[in-house]
Amino acid sequence: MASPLRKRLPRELRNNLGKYLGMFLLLALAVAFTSGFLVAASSIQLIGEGMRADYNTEDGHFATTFKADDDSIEAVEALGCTVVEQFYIDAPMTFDGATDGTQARVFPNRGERNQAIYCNGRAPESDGEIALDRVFCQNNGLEIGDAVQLAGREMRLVGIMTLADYTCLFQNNSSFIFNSLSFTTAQVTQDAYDAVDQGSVIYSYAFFLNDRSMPLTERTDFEEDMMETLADNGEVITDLVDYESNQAITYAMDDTEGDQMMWQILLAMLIVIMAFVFVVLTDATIEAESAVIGTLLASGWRKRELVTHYMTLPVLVGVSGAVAGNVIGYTLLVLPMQGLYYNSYGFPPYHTTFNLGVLVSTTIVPLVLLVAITFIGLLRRMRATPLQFLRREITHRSKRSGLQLPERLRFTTRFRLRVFVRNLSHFATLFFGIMFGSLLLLFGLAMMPLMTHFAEESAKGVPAEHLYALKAPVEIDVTEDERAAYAAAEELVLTENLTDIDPSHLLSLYLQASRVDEDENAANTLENSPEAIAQAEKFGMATLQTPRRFGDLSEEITVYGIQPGSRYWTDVPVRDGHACLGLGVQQKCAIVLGEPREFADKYTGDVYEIVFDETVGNTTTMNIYLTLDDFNRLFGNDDDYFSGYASDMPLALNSRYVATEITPDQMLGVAAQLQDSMGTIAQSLLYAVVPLFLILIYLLTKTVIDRSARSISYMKVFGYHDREISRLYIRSITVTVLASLVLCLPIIVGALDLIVQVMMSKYAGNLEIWIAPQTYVIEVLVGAVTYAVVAALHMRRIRSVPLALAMKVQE
Amino acid sequence: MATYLEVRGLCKSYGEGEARVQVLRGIDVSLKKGEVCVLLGPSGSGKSTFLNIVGGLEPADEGSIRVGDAVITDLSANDLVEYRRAQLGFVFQFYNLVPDLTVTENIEVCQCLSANPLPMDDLLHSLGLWEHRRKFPHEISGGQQQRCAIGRALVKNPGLLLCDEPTGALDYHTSKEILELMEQVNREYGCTIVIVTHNDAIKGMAHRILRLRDGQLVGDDVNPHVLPARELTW
Repeated sequence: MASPLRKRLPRELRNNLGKYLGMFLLLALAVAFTSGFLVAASSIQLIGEGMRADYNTEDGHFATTFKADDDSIEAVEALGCTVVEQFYIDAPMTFDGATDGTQARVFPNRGERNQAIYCNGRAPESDGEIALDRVFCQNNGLEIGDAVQLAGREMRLVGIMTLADYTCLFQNNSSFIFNSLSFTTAQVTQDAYDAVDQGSVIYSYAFFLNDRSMPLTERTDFEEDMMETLADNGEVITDLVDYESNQAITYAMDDTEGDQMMWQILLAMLIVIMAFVFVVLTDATIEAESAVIGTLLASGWRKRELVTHYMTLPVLVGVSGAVAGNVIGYTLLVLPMQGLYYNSYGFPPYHTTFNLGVLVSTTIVPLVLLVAITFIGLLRRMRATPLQFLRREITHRSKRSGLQLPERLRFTTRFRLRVFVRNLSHFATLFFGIMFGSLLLLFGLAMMPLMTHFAEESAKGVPAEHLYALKAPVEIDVTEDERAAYAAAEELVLTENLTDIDPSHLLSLYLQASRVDEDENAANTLENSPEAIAQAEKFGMATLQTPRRFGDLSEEITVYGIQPGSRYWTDVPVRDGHACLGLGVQQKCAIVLGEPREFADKYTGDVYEIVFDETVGNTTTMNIYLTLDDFNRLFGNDDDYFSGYASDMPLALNSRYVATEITPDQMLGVAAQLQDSMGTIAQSLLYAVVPLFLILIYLLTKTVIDRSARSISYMKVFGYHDREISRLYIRSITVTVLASLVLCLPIIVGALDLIVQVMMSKYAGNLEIWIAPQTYVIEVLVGAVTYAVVAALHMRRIRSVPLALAMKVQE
Repeated sequence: MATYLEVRGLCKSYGEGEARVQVLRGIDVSLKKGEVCVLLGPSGSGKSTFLNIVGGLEPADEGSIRVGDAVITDLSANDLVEYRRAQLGFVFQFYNLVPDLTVTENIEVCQCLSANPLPMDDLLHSLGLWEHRRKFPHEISGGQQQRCAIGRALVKNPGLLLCDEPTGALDYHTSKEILELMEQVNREYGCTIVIVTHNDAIKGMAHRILRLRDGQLVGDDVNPHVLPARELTW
């Protein structure tokens, strides 16, 4: 005979719909959001990782001032690679609604290497046709058939595509921010390309290594050999970018990978919260069913039969929730989640790929947890004897309930205190539950303001209005003669065909160039005012790596060599033999003052040991500081070496020497980009955590109020009015909830700080938890309102219970 | 008739040291198959403890209990479950029905444990619950709930029916109905019934009357004039 208890299941489900629906929604939403995001992100990551092989993405590229000789290319290829021309022109483009200054990077139709991946339409076939980047088209509302003017020529948009080496639209690799609004890649026919003004052609060459699995350090050596070979063949190299350093290729992937960390942390938090909820619900069920369990055990039912019975519904609800969550995640949420990335990055057409790891972490783990916790909880409770169940002695009663209270206290106060003391364990449960829920909510609420704060702090960290990073030292404090000599030398180098130059001018150039002292730093060919020169300050800058505190990744640290008593780094008291450590580096990499720490150059493999004497800056300071002399000694540079200028006035510098320029505004731009890339994720995170928070608070407060329901019914029987019951009973719970919401905040902030540190172990930079005051208010308000709604709903239900029933059901 | 329940030297205490309370102090009792026994005594005399130990719900400190062929004081926890499953029926003061099962289903909860259960329809008719068989516990009166609880205990056709204050939560008329039902059950099914009660009047329907005071058996009488339950008054 099948167990008659089976018939209880649908009724139990109906009678405790709130509890089981809450449990179902908690699981379904948690699984839906996390699986939806992680499946989308992991699918995108797979697509991204596959691009190198699927679309023949380059291993790097270099550019020369002029078209390189065939001999030069052959010499480079002989080193072990294939070199493919990837010439382009940055041409102005206009169309209806275009942003001023929009530029298209125009390539002739590409072949098998660095392929163009068409999402819509086709490659241009006639001279009047053009294909543009998908994200750019999306941001500008361009569709197939639209007209654009490329360098003044009318073109028709026939293809919307992504270039394999431009998944993120960085116009220059040294840029801090990408630009998918006024910059696009474009493909046209060879004839259409030739028709564009050729004066500004960039002679770029993509190279594809014969050994595509070559590690970075070997690749760096290879690339150095390549540069030497090109130089030996008389080529002037203007650019060399390795695949891994190419932001246009790696940024989107790095962002995708980094965001997954945030969701995995949310998932971990959700799993802990779900485990907690399952424990609470299992305990509440057993407590409520105590008499029934005792009777069944006394009647001869075996414990395992009862465990099976009480496991059935949670498991069924759990499995349904997990299945529903996956269905929602895979069908409804994957595409919006995918859109978070496809709106910013040019990945190839999306397709969802099943990911076992995601299924395990988002579904199997919570389910196993649900089953295991319910099972262990039941087994633990089932250790009680039938009599203990019958006498409701399964919960440990302490002597608290017998506490003597001063009689001078008013009755209502004493009553409330007794309610509080009697329910202390339940209130402790409520406190921890509210803490978990608040952690979740605050995590969602705090992310965006945190990003903004981080950006503002980072902007403050730029010591001058302009920081110029140089590819090689270039002196600005030079005489006119020196400037003329270098200008002449440069003109000689940059002129493709010297026979085009007037012989007398050529002679003059040679004479001036002969005055260049090759043992000294280059002289800037552009003139600066004496005021600008006087306030500019030289510094050295290099990038090294050291392991992070959490995880197995290394942090890239900027090493600055600055002047003692610098006018820009005023709070960095370096002196020879006295190194300063950015607070952010210290936190992120757990560096101890006074102890040697190793830093590695990822390109050369060289390892440097530095001992720090003090910390400087704030938690976003990811730099270390030496004097410029110590810097040059550390890296074995010449005494007069430097690699940048700090200046509050703009400097006119020969662009061939400038690697990048950093300004506070750019840092705010980085912040905006950070907000754009992480902000959408944080926003989606908020959509996930708010309903989860509501459900969690609902389940917990309902559990506590349920436990008090009988007492409340008795109060009614004794003749208390609803408002009196509310004053005596519900107020204790209300005070507990409100106090919990406020008191748990310091614990949550501490926990969030740890979570952010773990989260940042996958990101570059250091982020210390910062929560805007209004975020606290919002968090507490959401919690209080949720509780108010839940309590009102539940009180209405209790009020509707007939008094006769309250009397009749006495067990 | 053969002895069905034999209790020898049963002792039980709770607590330790100064807080130790000796609840049962060497109880010796023998009941025959089919006897109705009423166990009387004031609160704290050890009535419920005696019932719980006989029911295998808690262990004895000393002494032995034999029910049928089984010495239950020697049984393991698992064997005690089997003992309760096969031989015992329990009736509690507060019914302890499963709230979301109907009357029939509550009885089925124990029917399914037995290899040879009583026919459900007959039982429902006997219990006077036929009209209420599809109702839930909160839809019927306290007396009907207790009938259902008795039905649940009886359906396994147990050899021993242990009733802990079965009329304790019921009014006079309903209590008499329940006692009549027990009388009928004893007559029809021949089970041995032990009724723990505060109500001295119930002793009139019993074959044996046991009295406990301070954990000691102070009276063990055979009732020469067993009254029908309907004639009991209090």
